[in-house]
Amino acid sequence: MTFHEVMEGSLRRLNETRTQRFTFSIDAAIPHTLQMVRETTATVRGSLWIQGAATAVPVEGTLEMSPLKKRRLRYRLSWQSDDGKQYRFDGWKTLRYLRLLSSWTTLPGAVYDADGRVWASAELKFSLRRQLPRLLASIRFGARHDALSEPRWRNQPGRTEVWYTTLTDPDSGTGVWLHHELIAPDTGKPYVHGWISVFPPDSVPVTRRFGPYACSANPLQSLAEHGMTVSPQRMSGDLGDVSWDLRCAGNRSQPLFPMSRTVWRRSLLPASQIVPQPSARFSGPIGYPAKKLSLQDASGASARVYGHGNAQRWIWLHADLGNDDVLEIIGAVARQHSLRWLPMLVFIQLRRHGKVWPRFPLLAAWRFHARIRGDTWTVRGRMGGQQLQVQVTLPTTQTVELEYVDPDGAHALCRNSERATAHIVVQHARRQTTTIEWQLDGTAHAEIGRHPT
Amino acid sequence: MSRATDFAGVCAAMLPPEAGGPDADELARRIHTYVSQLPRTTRMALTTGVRSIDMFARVTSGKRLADLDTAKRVRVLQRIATRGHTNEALEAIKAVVLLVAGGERAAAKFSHDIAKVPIPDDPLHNRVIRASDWPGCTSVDAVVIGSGAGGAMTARCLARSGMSVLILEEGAHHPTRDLHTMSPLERQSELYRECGISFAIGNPVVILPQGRSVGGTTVVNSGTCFRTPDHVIRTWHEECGLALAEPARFGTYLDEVERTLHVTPTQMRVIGGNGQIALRGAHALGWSASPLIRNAPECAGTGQCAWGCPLGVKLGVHLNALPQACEAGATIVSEARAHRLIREGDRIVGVRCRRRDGSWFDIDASIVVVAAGATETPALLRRSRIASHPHIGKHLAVHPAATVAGRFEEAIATGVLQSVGVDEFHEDHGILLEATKTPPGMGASVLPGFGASLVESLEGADTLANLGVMVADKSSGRVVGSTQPLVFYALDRIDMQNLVFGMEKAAQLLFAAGAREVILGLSHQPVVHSHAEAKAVLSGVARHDLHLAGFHPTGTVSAGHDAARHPVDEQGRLRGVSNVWIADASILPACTRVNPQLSIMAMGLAVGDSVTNVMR
Repeated sequence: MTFHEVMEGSLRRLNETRTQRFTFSIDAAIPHTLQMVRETTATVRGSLWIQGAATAVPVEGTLEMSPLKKRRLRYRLSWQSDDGKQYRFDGWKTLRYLRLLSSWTTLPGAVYDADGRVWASAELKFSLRRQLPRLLASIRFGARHDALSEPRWRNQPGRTEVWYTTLTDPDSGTGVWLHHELIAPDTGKPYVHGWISVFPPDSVPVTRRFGPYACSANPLQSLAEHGMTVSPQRMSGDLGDVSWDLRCAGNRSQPLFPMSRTVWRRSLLPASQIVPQPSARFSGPIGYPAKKLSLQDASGASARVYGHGNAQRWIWLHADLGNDDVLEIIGAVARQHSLRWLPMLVFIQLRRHGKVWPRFPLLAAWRFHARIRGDTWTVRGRMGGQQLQVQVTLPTTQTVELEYVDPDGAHALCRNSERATAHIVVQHARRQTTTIEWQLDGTAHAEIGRHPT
Repeated sequence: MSRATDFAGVCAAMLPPEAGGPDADELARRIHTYVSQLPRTTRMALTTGVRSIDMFARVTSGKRLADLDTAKRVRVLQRIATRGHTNEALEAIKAVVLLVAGGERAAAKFSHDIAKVPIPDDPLHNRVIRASDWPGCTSVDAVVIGSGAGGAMTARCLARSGMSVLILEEGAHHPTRDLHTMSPLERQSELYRECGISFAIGNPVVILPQGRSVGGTTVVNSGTCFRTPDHVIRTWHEECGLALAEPARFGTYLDEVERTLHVTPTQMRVIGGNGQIALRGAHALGWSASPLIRNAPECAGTGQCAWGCPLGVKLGVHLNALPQACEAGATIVSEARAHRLIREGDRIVGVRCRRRDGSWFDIDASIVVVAAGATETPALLRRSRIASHPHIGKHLAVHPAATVAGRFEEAIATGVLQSVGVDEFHEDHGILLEATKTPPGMGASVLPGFGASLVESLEGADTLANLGVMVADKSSGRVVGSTQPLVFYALDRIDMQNLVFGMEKAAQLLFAAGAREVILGLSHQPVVHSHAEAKAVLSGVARHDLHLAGFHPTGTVSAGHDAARHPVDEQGRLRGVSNVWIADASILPACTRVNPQLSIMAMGLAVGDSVTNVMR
């Protein structure tokens, strides 16, 4: 189960009299929901503000929940403040049955510096009026992060399942696309294959394919048997002149469900996509002809696709906006003849300051319009008082063209660049004033695909 | 609720303004201010007592006590004093009146003696955080409850081993600078638990002054430092099975404590008139006596030890062990009362504390060291529901002391509060005679009489030399209660005999030193004029006639090998839970027979080593 919580209050440095506003906004993921009643520990990630000391800094930690046994909810958070120093917060709500409401909504605690000394005294409150409706609305019952990466295929024919990762090296600007795919044809034996594409800033992209390999019940196991490791924590492979051994330093935010969680779980659409690790950091060596890179905290994302095959036409964007903010866009036109005439459905998830917009991407998909012109596509739309405009361009010299094969044997062509440019604008819908704007030059990950027929 | 006017009649009767005593209404107002700081039960008892006296005056004479003339007021008091138990109550009220009156007299002298002395820096400056400023929840490796002799040494040991240590202290922090501006009575109210008049119920009642501030009783003790006698260490180690008291090892702990406290013999230039008289009398009788060894190498002899040294030269733990613990990373939180230890299964996971404004805060810790003192530690364990051992709270030894005073022709020059020790009778009888001079009215003794004679005694108190008679006692007391401890003490028959013997010897010494009369401090026939007369009076003394004080309570949560007899094991760990150690006087399994500061600090160090050995 996951939920979102905001605690607001103040802190006071020891030996000082003035107080500073202190707020944190966290997403908590409880591994086993029923154990929450007895004793469990949730992982939390989010953002934190301290007036004059920390502005929307990423925070991560744990929430120990033992409401009956220990009568305690303990928050342990750590972050790096604006001054570059490490701090941590340790506090707990002590539940008192005779004062249940006030004890459940009051969080006293201490902020410690890097040396472990008490730096400040803090007290935060959960506002029932403002925050309870949001918390209740944010509750989601779903699988854990790692479970989202486990194969869904159960030996059915006519299915395709994809694990792909894209990242950008902050030092060299090199983009990388790792693609692992299972194809279970309508007729014939299932197999796994994939490729790695490296997009150096100063030369043409390099792509190397691997497979097809026969697939057993577990596609990831089959890949591992051929030297390809695919897991949330690690991806590795060696194709001779191209090799990689990347470790994920830990996901820094909750999974994204651009087509909604229900669509993914129940396969309500011909295919669906999720992003289990939208703000990951990858480290490790990656080698391609004439160059070896040693990645250090390269930002990227790992995503999954599962369904009956590719769309008739599609667009895709993953944009890392910094501070763990991300934009994920998938636009698709169904392959069924009766549905091809419908406008492209555009599924959008913009995560900013820990909050996701729009809240209901399935409903919002009709509100956004896509236009594709060559290697440039744009999306515009309006939802809930905000207007979004996105323009993505795939640079001609740094784009690869690859063929996809569907389970029914049809071929699709995709043009992909991990060094795309993107211009993203969020505006206030009525006032037409720009709320925020991003320009990504060479760090956007984008794709345009279509079936020729 | 008491009112200032309640005390006016008693003040006028005991110290009549007509005979030169202080203004009764003013004195009553000051007494009311002092009494309002006492615990509710003590306050109610005193108020009931003075109102009862007033009622007795109305019943017997038709008027309030304050409205009677001087002679009639004294007669009322004398009639009350004829009964044993009412006399005890009257003596208790007189002690409070004399304390407040004496405090006012002493204020001018205290200020004069330190007027031009520079104020030293506070080594705990910015190291002590008040509980009102402390967070609602904190997490540390070890929490030490109590910043006194034992707690300070254990905290220093744990902090130096690398643990994060929090020291909780119920009292406030009063740096030396504060003591310059506070009156003696204010210092007594702030530095002692229950304003210095906490007591043990019994026959007789025993006053049990206990320090309550950062530094604990070491801030207000006399600074006398005796090494634990070898035979006491052997008793602890061999008879009680206390491994921490292994002689060679314990000796190294005592050495370390002596280094920490800079223990040195008292210099002759500061022992004052009181000490000179004690030496003179002892030498005349051929008894073994010498200046006491103390933790005050730079002592200037102001005699204010029991109200906190205003010069910072008496080196309590707040001037050495606690700052050293803070340098090693420990933090001190003051004005925080440990309400209970938080238990989960057989482990203690933290401490819940109460601030003075009534709010709470919690501390999570994997090690808890309780060093709250021999009377508070059992109560804390009971509040925490880990006091199931049947011997918790029992076997309290207090080292009872009586005061004998000798009147001399000349005024006694000011000097060290406790200057000279006579140990002639220590080995055979467990008796120590210590020359202890307190300002009149502010000591353990109660001046005899009422009315003009009492005023005269108070005015002439500068010619009195005092000897304290301390007796190594059997463990005859117990501490009951959990919210507030209630102490009971039944003076053992043998201890009573030794005490009377010691008082007789003290009288003999004072006469040998040239005293023209000796005040035995008894309720009946308090003054004698010869050694033979003292011996005769003391041979028939009743228990309730004695005025006793116990400055060294020990043994209420004793440590030893026998699990059935000792609540704490031989390594200092409380039985029944896995991570609580006791590091104060309560774990000493038998009376130290001497002033116990060094013994308690050495035991604190031993417990600290025991904890670090377990955590390694």
